Amino acid sequence: MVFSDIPFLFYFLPCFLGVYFLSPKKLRNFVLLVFSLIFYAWGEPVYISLLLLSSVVDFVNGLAMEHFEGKRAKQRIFLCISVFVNLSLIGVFKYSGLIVESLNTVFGLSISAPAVELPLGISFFTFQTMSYSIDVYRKDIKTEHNFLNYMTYVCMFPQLVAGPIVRYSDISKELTQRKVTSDGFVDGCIRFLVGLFKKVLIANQIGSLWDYVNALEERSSALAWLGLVAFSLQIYFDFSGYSDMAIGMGRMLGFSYPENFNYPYICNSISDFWRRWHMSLSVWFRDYVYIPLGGNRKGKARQIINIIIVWSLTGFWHGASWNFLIWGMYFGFILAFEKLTNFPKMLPKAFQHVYSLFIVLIGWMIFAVEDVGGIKTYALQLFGAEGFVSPQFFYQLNNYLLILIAGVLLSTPIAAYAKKYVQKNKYVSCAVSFGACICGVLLIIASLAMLIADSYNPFLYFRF
Amino acid sequence: MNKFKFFLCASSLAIFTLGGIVSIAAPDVEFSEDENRILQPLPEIDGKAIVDGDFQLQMNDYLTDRAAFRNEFMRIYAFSQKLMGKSEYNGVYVCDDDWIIEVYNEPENTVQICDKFNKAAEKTGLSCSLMLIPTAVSIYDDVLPPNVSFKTTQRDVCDYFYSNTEMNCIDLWDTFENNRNDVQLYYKTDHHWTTDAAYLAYKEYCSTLSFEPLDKSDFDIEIVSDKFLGTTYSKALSAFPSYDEIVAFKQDMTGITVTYPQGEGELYADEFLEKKDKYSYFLNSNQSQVIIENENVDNGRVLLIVKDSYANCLVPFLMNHFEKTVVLDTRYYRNGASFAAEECGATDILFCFNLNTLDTDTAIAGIY
Repeated sequence: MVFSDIPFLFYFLPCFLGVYFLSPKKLRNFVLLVFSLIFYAWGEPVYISLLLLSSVVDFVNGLAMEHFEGKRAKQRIFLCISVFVNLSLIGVFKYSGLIVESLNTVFGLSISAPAVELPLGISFFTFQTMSYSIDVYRKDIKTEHNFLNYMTYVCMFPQLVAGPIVRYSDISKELTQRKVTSDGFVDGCIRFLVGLFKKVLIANQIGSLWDYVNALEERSSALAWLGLVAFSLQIYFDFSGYSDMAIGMGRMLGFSYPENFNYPYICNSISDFWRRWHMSLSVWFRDYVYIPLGGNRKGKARQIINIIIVWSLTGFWHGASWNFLIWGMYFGFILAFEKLTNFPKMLPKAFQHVYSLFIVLIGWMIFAVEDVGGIKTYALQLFGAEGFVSPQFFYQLNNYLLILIAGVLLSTPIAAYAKKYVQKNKYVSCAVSFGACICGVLLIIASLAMLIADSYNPFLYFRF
Repeated sequence: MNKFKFFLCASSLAIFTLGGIVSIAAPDVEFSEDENRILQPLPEIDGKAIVDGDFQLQMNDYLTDRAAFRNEFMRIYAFSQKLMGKSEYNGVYVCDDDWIIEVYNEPENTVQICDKFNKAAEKTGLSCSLMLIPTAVSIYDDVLPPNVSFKTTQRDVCDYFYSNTEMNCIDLWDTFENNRNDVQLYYKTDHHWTTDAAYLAYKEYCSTLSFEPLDKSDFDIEIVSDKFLGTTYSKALSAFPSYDEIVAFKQDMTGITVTYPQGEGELYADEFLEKKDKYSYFLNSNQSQVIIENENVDNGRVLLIVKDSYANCLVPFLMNHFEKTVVLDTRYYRNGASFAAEECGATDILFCFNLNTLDTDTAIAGIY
C-alpha cells in the first residue's frame, strides 16, 4: 500500500484514525503496530518476516549490551552481530543479484543468481534498527525494554517504506508519552495534504514527460534537457511529497519525525545541495560512517577519501545497479573538489546556482537512465548529438509548460515568502487563508480524480 | 487555531471517509461504458494469492475501480488535464475543430505481423486481398496539435506491407486524400471511420478486383443517429462535445439472410443506437462469426473477411458481390484463416485492419 492511493485514503487511513483515537492511550502503540503490520503485509506478505527478524535481532542486542554494561569487548560483539545481520539482509536481498550477475559477466561464469525480490523498504528499516544498536553501544540512548514500544518505533507505517529515516533518539520520549494537540493534529493533516498534492498533482503529472523522453532513442538537445528537468522535478516532488505525508501523519499521532528536504534546488553548491536533499539519509551516513572513519579530523587527504567512501555508499544505497554507485562517486568527487578549493564560492551568486543545478541535473541523468551505455548516449544527446531542437521538444513543452512552471516555482520557498508577506496584514491574511482553504478542498478533489482516473502512479523507491 | 485550517483538515478527512463509505455502499459496476473496459471484480480470497501479493494488487484495483463518483472523477480528471494546457491525454489528441483523435504509437511488430499475414494467405492458396485502413491521425493530420510528429507513420507501415506481399493490395490513401474535404471520413468523437469512408474503400476494392460497384443512388442513405459520442470522446470527456451522425447505406434485403452464432438476425442492430456504443449498430457489435447469404448473386464466389471492427460498416457493401460472405473475428477464432476458408468453402479472402491498432491487435494472433 502507498499513501497516495485510493485504498489507503478511503479505507486504511479513516479506519486507522478511528480505531486509534477511540482506543485508550495505553493501547495506542499496539493499534499503531497492528495497522503498520497490515500496511506492510499488504505489499510484502512474505518479507514481513525480514522486518520482524531485523527488529528482534536489534531488540535482543540492545538488551544484551545493557546486560554487559561496562564490558566493552562483549558489547562490541553484539554491535557486530547487529551490523552483520542487517548488512547481510541488505546484501542478500538487495545486492546479491547484481553482484552475481557482474561476476558472471566479468569472469564469464554462469552462477545462477538467487531468485529473491527486493523487500519493500528494506534499506530504511535495516538502517533504523542498526542505528538503534549503534546508539545503544555508544550510550547515546538507553536500551528500550518494552518490546511493543520498540516494535512500534521500527514498524510504524508512516515512515516504514520510504522514510524519513527516524532514529530512536528522535522519538524515544514520544513512544511512551506523546501529546496530541488539536493544533498538532490539524497541522499534521495539512502537511499530509500538501504531500499528497506534491505527489499526485505535480510529481505524477510531470513524471509522464520523463517517461516519454527516457523511452526515446533519439533526443534533440533541448528535449534531453527538458527530460532531465522533468525528472528532477518528479523525484523531488515525489520524494519530498512522500516525506511530507509521513511527517504529517506522524504529527497527527504526536510524533515529530525529522525533516527530510529543505528546498534542495535553491542550493548554491553541491555541499549545500546535500544539506538540503534527503537529509535523514545524509545525516545517517555522516554519523555512522563519515565521523567513525575519522571525518575531517585526520587531515585533508583522509577527509577526501572519507568523503568519497561515504558518497559511494550513499549512492549505492539507492539501488542495486552500478549507475547508483557511479552517481554517488560522482558527487563524492565533486564534494571533495569543493572542499579542496574555494569553488564555487568565488563565483557570483547567480553562477553558483547555475553550476549547482547543472551538476545536479547531470547527476539525475546518471541516476535515472540506469544502464551505463544509455547514460553515455543520453549525455551526448544533451550536447547536441541528435541536433539541438526537434518538433517533439516544442510539442512536449506545449503540453507540459504550465505544470513545469508550477513545479519550478514551488521548488523554491516562494510560497513561504508569500505567506510571510501576506501575514503582515490581518485582513489580507484572512482573505488569503480563506482562498487557500477553498483551493485546498478543490485540490483534494483533483487529487482523487487523478488517482481514480489515471493509472499512472509510480512508486519510485521500490529499489531503495 | 486558525479556523480555515481546521475546516480544511475536517473536510479532507470527511471526504476520505465518506468516499470510502459511499464506495462500499454503491452497487458493483462491472463495465465502465465511459472507458469501454471491464472493471476489476472483487478478487476471491485465496491463501496462495495473498502470500504472492496478487490478491492485494487485485484488491487495490478493485477498490480504485469502484470508487464512488467514478464517472464524475473521470470528468474532473479530463477537465484538469485541459486546464493544465495538455492537448494529449488518456491516449487521445484533443484537436482543433472538435476532433478527438486516437494517439498513434510507434509500431514495433510490423515485420512479424506482415509475415503472419503472408503465411496465412499462402496457406489458403486462394485469391487474397489486403486492405489496411489509414486512420484520422494520418488523413486529418492538419488538425492535430502543433508539432506532433511520428518517427514511423502509418503510411510507412502500409507501404512496407504492400511492398512485401503477393496479395492484392487495396490502397486507400489516394481516394481518402482526394475526398477528405468533401466527406467526413472519420467520426470526430470515435476511433472508427464513417460509412462514407467505407463506401470509398468499397469502390477501391471493386476496382482492384474488377467488380462493378453499386452507385450511391442504389442505396437509401439514412441518418440513423445524430447523437453519437464515441470512444475518443470517452477518453477526452470534453464538457461541450460535438455530436457525430451515424449514416447507414440501406438497401433492399430480399434474398439476403444474415446469420449470427446465436441465429438469424439483421444487418443493423437498432438497439445499439439507444446505447452509448452506437458503432455496434453495424453487424451487431463484434461477433465471432457472421454469415451473409445472398441469393441474388450467382457467381459461385464466397468471400471470407478476416477483420477488426472497422470492417463492420464495410461488409454491407461487399455482400452484394458474393453468394456468401463470412465475417470472422479472429479474437474468438484461433484455428487460422486457412482452416476457416476451407470450412466455409471460400474463394476469396479479404484481410481488413486499421493501421492504428494493427500493431497491437490481439485478433491478429488467430490469423495464422
